[in-house]
Amino acid sequence: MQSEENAYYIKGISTGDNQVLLRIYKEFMPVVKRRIKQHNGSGEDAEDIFNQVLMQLYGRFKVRDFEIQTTFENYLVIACLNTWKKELKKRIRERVTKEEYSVHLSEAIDFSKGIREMEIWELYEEKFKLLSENCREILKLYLKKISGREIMEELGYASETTVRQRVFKCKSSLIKAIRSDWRFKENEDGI
Amino acid sequence: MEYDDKTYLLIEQYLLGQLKGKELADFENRMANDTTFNQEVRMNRSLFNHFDEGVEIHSRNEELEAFYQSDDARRFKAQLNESYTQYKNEADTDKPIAKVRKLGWKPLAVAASILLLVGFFLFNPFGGPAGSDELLAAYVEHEPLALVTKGNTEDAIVDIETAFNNKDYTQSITLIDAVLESLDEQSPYWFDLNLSKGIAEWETDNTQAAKTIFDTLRKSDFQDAPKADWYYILTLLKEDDRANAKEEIQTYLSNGGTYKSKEMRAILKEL
Repeated sequence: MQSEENAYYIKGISTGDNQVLLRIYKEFMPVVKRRIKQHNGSGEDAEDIFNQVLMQLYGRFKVRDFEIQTTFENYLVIACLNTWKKELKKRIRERVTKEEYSVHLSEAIDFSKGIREMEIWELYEEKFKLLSENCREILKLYLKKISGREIMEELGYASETTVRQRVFKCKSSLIKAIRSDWRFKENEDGI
Repeated sequence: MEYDDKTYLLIEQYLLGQLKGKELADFENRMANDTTFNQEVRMNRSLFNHFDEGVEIHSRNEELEAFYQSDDARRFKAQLNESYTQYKNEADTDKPIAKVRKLGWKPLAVAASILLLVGFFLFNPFGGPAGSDELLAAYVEHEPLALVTKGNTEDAIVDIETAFNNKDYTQSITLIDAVLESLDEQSPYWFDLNLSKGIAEWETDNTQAAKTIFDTLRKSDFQDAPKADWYYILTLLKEDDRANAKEEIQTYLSNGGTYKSKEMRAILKEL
């Protein structure tokens, strides 16, 4: 069940309530701006991303049976950061292959992909949280591409081989949990 | 399908860009010809991406795309544009307050404390709690570094003071580090230099480094240790860690802390 605060924002977005939208801008735009600036973005980038995420949210509320599992602020900040990271990647890619400049996806496709990517992100997070604390700890380092030696030293494992075996086991559990969830559509999403 | 440890090691090396020459060619060949293997590589890549840039979707969703081309979505977009324009206009109206805040803190201390109250009303016309950024905007004002007036005229100290007071924080960190290397903890400047370094780290968004410095200083026996308490709390706010900021302020006040206690109480109300 949604918290009272989340329900207030969701209702406001779903009905396009000007007062609620204004409040969302005032309360959350500063923190989103700061976080995006920390990730090589500008204030203008942050405003664009913020609006994109509000559009995505509107679609999610309307088309999907969707509940925010955290606070509205947390959700908004994470969604903005994820969307910004994608945008940044796209910009870097476009700079490399200039001939593809004209091949821009339409806004509708972008919003739609944004929603699906956020859904998958949430699914990964949910399954990751179900792992044991030890698995979460070691996988977090491994997936951040920290070397086996560093993981061994930081977490006090006896050898790199032990680290590798543990990572293998934990990663398999995670993949299994993700793949067995009905929300995960590997082929359909082209992951 | 589950593969053996050796295959996963190969996938990992591929994803980390460690495969070269024939090994890489063989791997890519296998990916092109073995759908299951290809899927396994992509799944592993998506896990890596999850903690980095997020999972990327390559397919399209007709239902969602159709929704975004509907009149319903267009109407919402129009409303969003209207609300956004109004927000921007109101933000422009708020700007004079920010300008006043940027003037020196000390001569305007009284005026500023009045403006803070007005500021919060303008920041929060809907009566909701102030965001962490708004609190920082209202309360952060660094005291100028004044080591030279304390009698130290060494060139390095003069340079630090100039850089810090000119808000060249990256340069400040480098200069302070160079001096701290050979400075005894008993030196009368040790605390001030460390505090300034913490502030410089704070300003350059290295909140973790800033927190470590402030935490050390606030636990020290120096007379000015409460200043580090204040900055430690501001760092938590900068990280938007409101729960811990609240807890720290409560502890500080319940321990009888007086430095910036008025400001802390005001922030506490907003948390």
